[in-house]
Amino acid sequence: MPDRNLRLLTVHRIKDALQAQVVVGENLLDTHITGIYASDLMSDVLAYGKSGSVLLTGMNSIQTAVSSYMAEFKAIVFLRGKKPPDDARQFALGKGLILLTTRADMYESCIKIAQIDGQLSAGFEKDGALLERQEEVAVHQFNIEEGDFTTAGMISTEIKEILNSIGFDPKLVRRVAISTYEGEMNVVMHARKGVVTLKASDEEIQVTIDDEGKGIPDVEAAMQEGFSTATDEQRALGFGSGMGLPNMKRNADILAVSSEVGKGTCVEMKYAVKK
Amino acid sequence: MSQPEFAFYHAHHIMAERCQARMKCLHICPTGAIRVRQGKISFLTDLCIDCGECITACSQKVFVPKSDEKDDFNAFSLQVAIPSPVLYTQFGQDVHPQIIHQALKNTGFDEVVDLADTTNELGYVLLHHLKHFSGSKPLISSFCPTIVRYLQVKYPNLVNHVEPLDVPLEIVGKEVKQRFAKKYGIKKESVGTIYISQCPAKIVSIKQPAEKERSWIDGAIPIKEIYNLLLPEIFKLQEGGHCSLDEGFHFGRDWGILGNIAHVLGPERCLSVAGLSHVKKIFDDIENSRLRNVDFIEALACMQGCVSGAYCVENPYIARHTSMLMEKAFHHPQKLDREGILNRYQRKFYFMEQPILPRPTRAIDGDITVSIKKLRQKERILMKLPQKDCGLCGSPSCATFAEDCARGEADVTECIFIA
Repeated sequence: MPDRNLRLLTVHRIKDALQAQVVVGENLLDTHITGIYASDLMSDVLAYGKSGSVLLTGMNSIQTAVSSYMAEFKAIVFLRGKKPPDDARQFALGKGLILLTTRADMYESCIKIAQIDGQLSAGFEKDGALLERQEEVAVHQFNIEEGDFTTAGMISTEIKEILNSIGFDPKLVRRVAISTYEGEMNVVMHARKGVVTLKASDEEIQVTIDDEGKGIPDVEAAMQEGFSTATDEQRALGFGSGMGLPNMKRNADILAVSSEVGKGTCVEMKYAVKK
Repeated sequence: MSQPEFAFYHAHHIMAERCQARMKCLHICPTGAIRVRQGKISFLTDLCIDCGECITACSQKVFVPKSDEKDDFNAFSLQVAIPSPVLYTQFGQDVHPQIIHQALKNTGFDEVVDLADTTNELGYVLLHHLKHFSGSKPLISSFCPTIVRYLQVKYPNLVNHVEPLDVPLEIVGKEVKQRFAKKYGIKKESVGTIYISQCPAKIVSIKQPAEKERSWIDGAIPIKEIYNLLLPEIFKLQEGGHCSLDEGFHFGRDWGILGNIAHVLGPERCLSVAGLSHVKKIFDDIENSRLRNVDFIEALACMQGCVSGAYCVENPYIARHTSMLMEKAFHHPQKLDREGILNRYQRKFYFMEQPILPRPTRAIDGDITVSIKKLRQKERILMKLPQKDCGLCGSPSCATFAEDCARGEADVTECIFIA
């Protein structure tokens, strides 16, 4: 079956076609799937299975569930009436994987699914384009822990390496790295923990630093050069000179800071990608 | 495997038939340039920075130094040897550098030139330059060619931090050609300058300089290769008991030993770092603009400095010890012609002929959108891999393997945990 015809398929339609019963994931049957893969060999699943597929298999062990999850499958249909073992059910429940069982064997199941091929609907182009666009944005997340000066700078270094490998202009990459480093240090010094999110496309790079911490009472004052609430110990380590936010502003094209005292701060930085 | 647009010269080549795929080189390579595919070893020439780690690590001698031999220089009517100061440390503390010079002459060189005087001179120039320099700091030493290449490959933003002064060897090469052409009444082209090298990187910097069209040095012979020729000559000279000692010999501090540039510049504003993994951390700090109180970085790729070069014979710690003792025993202070030096500085005599430029970075794809798609594919593949970095697939780590797969240069089934 051509790949794109499957884009509007849901697990629900597979269930109907195979007259299958749901073992785990009754509430997830609307999940869209992007392909079907039939195999009993888990190494093949890992090597050749495409993300978003449904697995048809006669192999019922915990390994089936784990491998399918690793290959980013959405569902598993166990054939010839086999029921997945308890540990596989537990695993699937925790990971949002759908498990089904059908009386049909592999050959029969494949034919039944192939028959859905005829029932195409218009609209898959739009859906397909959406999936395609998702593929064009690199998304990465990193966690920052409180007061961890030993690893501070690791995230900006990692982000720098990712952006370099994509092939962005080194000067742009350096601006992103410097401002992310400042943001990272702010979280280490002033917040409990935080998450750094990087989104990069051929049009824009976006770094969001979201922390849970004491927040900034007066954002405008904090934006002034030299404004600092760092402790003496932090200054002794070479930080807290009050250049953090100003330095971020200088390096990012757009800087937006929102903060709530006692809750935390969210810093959003955007950088235009020149072509 | 796809090759970059233009190939880079490297001072070693691979004898694949010797390779038993013991994977030592694969893990030790600091830029992850080595691959083993279908049992065949190769390296990505754009990533290789000539540090020589693979040459030292391989027990099967798969990486063979490409170098010149003495006979290659027969076309020059005058052959001048310029030994790396590291050579003096290879024969123990009792062998005076002059004996080593004489031994070199006995093996057929017409003249031998010591690098120390020019190094001293350049030290003064560097101090002067740094004092009057107002551009972005810290400046990074241009001395170690591996460091310069590391910057070109991994830190394209920092290449403009490399000090614009040329290395002592090149300055000496330039001078020697003029001086001996005059002295012997021959053409400059007939004076052959030959470096006795402690590492592959120096040889590469001669064959394919980062900052000029052509090096002032005509060729290089590894210390390893010439050691066995020199040793009997040194024994003979020592037995003979006398060797005319040239009064102009100063035996200065070699910049190849870590800390010696800091000694010239003063430790307050100069940071010394050696070993690529440590150097990486310092460079990351500069990139994040964290290192704010330092004006100069003295960085060497090898852990103890040049005494650990891949072409050295002596244990690096013993060599370093010997170097310190020899300096104590043989060093004569040199009187610098400061006015003359500053005059030459103004005329840009000491400067590199061309600026150092970044090497084209090895992005996943030339097109950013395609690159991002492949990066996402890489991450999906990486999730399936065991994260053991065993290297059995032939890539140095699971992450590199995932990227190789996304690039289409490897197949997921080559991972023994999946296949």
